[in-house]
Amino acid sequence: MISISIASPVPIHDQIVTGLRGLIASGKLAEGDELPPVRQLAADLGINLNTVARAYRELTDAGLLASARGRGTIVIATVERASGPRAEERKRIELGIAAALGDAKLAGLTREAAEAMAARQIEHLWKYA
Amino acid sequence: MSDPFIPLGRLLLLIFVPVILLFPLVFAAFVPNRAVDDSARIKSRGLLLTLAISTAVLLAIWVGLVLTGLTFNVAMLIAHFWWPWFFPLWFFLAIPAIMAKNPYLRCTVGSGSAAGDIRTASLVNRERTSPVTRAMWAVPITLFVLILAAIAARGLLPFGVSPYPGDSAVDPEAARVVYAESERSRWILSLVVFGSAFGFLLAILPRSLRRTLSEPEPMDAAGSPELAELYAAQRRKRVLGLFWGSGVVLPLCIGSFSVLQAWFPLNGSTWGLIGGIGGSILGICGAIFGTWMTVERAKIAEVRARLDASAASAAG
Repeated sequence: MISISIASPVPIHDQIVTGLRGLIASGKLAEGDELPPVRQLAADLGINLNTVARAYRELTDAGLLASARGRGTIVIATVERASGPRAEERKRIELGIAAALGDAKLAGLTREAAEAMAARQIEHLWKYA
Repeated sequence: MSDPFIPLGRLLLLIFVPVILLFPLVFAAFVPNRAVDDSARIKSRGLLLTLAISTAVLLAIWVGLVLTGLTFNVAMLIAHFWWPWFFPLWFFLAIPAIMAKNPYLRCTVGSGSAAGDIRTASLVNRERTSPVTRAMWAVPITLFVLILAAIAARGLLPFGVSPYPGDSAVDPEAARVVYAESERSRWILSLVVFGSAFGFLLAILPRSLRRTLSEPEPMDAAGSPELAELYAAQRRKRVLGLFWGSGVVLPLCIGSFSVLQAWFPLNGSTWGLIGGIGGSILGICGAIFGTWMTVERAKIAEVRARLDASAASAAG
């Protein structure tokens, strides 16, 4: 299942990309799994075809998905193709973690609560690794 | 020699007009009222009343035309072609009234079914879940080939052999030639019409089934398995109905009719009458199936609304 929020300020195609990356990272979508056709997913979510197509294209460019005639869109990898040097990649991830933890602190979460939240996500994501 | 089927056809047309004009009112009146707010209830009542008055006026005019038609043929002709009034009654009054009575029917139209802030979708490719197996395709293909062969086989025999069933005062030899030509034309027409229409239908059926499989199935925010099961069961019925209906029953009925017409050509309006009644029955069956599927979709939309409402109340 994938969910999007129409009311969210995050663009819908970004929500789809994040949702699918999350499912791939957590192992709910494995290598070889087929995704629904663009038309079907767009109809189910009640959004434009191009929005779904753009999200699929972005994940294809990242090396996670591939389209083959007659076989639809499939998950071909569970690790993204590096978009730059390794050190820069790590820096980007660290900045993302820092932003998420900053959000947690600003939301008034205690250190223990933030640690528990992070641990839960780590446990969830690396369960199938 | 007068054709006994002509008065029967006229009688059927006389029954058909009031039945088809009354249909929108009867259908709209029997749709259960599931309107959730007062404005929808008032709207549906107003539309039903307008529909009832319009139907009564049209039927009164029709009765007047029939009575006048006993003296003036033109009036009877107009009375026989009074049935297209069905369309404004149905599309402008009955459908809005039905939609107002049951708002979930609106959710069965296109992708307008997906609503709400949180939208959830399954990631299963439904095109791969078709209940129509590869082996099942042998049935419509074999049927199509057999019917086409049965029609084509008539061309191997000479035409105009059976005695001319028309007026005995006509020169029998001249009548036989004309009759043979008419038989041949009817055979060619049956062959071409059946071959092209059902060949095309069979060719586009896989695509139609794929489109049916990928019709929108918006989930509730939590992606409940209950809803997924309801969708799966309804999708199965819809796809199998389309496959057996369009791929087998329709070509079987029309094909059998074409074979009989090619092999046993009758004079007069017999085949026309049989074709008209048979075609109407097929159309009514198709409409009943379509309505049944729409009602099921509306029920699923109602379940989705209930699941979303209970999830919202649990969260709030």
